[in-house]
Amino acid sequence: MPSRRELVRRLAVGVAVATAVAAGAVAWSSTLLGEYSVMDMGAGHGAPVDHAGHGGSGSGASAASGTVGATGAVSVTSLTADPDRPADVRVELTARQETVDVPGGRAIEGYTVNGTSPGPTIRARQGDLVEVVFVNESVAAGATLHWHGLDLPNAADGVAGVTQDAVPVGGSYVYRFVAEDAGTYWYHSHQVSHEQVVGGLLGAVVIEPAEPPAANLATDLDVTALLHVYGGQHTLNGRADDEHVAAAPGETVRVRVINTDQGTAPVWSDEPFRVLAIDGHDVNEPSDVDGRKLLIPAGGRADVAVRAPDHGAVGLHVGGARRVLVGDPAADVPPAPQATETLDLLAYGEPAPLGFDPASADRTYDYVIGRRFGLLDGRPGNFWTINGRLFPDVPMFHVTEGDVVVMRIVNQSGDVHPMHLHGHHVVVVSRDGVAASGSPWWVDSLDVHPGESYQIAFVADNPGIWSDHCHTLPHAVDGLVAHVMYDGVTTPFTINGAAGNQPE
Amino acid sequence: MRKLYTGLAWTIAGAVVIQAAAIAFAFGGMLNLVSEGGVVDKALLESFQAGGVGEVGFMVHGVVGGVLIPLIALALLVVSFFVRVRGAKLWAAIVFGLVVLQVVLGFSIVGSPYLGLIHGANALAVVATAAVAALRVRRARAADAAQAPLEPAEGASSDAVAA
Repeated sequence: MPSRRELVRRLAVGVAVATAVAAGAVAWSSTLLGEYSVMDMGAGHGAPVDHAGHGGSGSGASAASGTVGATGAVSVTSLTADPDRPADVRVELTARQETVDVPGGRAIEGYTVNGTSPGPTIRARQGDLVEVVFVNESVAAGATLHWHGLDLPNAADGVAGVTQDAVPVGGSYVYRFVAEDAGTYWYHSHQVSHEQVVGGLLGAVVIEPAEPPAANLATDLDVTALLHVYGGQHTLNGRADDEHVAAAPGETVRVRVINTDQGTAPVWSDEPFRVLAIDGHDVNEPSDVDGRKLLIPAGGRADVAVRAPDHGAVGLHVGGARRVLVGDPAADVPPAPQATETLDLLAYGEPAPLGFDPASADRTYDYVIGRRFGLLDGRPGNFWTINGRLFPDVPMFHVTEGDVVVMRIVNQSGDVHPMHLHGHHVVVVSRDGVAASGSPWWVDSLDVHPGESYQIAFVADNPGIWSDHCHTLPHAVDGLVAHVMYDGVTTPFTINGAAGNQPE
Repeated sequence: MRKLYTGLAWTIAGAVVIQAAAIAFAFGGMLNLVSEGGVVDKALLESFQAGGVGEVGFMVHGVVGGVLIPLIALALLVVSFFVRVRGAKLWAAIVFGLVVLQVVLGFSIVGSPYLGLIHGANALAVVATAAVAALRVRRARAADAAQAPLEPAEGASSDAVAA
């Protein structure tokens, strides 16, 4: 028989343990996200239900109701291209969850668009109205199409749970947009994207310029080099092999490199090349790049001009494992050792007017990336933080149409982060305090390396709710997602609700 | 409780051995992949294929080092408060501190590769301190067991608590 003192001690320990377990359970359950709207995110709006500040109109969630009238708010569903304008380019894309054939390699289980991965390349001319009818035939988790790098109306942005519901099996969605900017872009699913993009639900988009390009940007030939790793196999345009481009001596080839992978892709050659465009925006007065490598962030694109040599062929290494060989197709080209120096786009090309003044910013925001242990949706792990806070307690970047927005992106973590803002192109103002001195460096996907600090600027000219996230997609799953929200714009869509929306 | 304490401490020491084995296996797999013409780049790294046949080594190293060992070290620290042996709390705290340092170093290596030098050395410090912690408490248990026959009733009850 234990003594009274022993009984008291055991009771105390029991109460302490029970309290600790209960407190732990409460703390754990408070991190569960459940169904939520991105409108409820932002500092001070951590809890999904807290919604006092929005006049009570915003939380009319899930019932997709179109324009919400109560506070003069505009729903993302009404932010569309001119519905009366007929389409200039019309494409039907059908997504399937099935085996992906990888010529030159082994097949993997993944996703296809119109039976292949990558799916068909969408081609249009600048100014065309593009209409894509997207059909989900068998992607069990639902799917969407996001138009990476295209600054299009918010309703066509394709982010499940923000701008639309994920398209269920048997469903469809029509994307309509005017291709305002010429250049190289790509499309991919933005529903469970860390699986569907990796599995191949993607394809290229090429917008031809309305006017022929300036003489120093013109090329004789034009090819696409879409990089993707399928089950550990590096591919170019879906084939686990190098790409040969037959070109006569002296002919120039525009190679549109699209990095659809989760990490930075290097591009180099032992012959000089020129970078004609980054993320669909022309470089002003590009010079020859010799002995240096160009780095393309995950999700980013670069148009590179290569000149066919007088004899044989030249190899442009794209993404480490593959090459685009330009010249005599029969020529044997030894691989070029990778350049150790990196081309600094901060000082590449010649300056040109931006069209706005970043010094007179209407809004300035910090986007500081860190990492710490914690719970995200009840899941323990070492997660990314934004401005020191874990998802969903991350900032909301509020803007008003017409604002000049300046953002400081700082990476205090140990990994590189390719930061991608939807619906806009941002211009790099400075890096680590050094002002940009080359051609205006317009990007939609920007690698921010450990310890770096970028100042970027953009004009808020495209109303909507726009995701601003890391394009190493598993990082987005682990909390590296914030949004730019225009005043007065609301969304009827929710994440984790009945529609099963999981954008990351 | 003492049995649990020594068990946890030895588990940490053993897990560090697994860590060393796993990371050597992983880099062996990566070099094998490269020697057979494979190319390791960021795209392959992020698709969790850069280790070739040794990829599971990276996974084990990440899970054991990032989750398992920290949890066991935390459990050891908690258990140490119920173990009445001199130095039990101190050594559990040292082990826990070194493990925290080790995890921070591990996650910082990509950005600052030189930290790898400390990461490798600190692993040995974790093994050593975990072994010291286990041995100290085991010695105390052994000493108590030697005394137990003199006071049978008391010994039985403390065993029951320990179990």
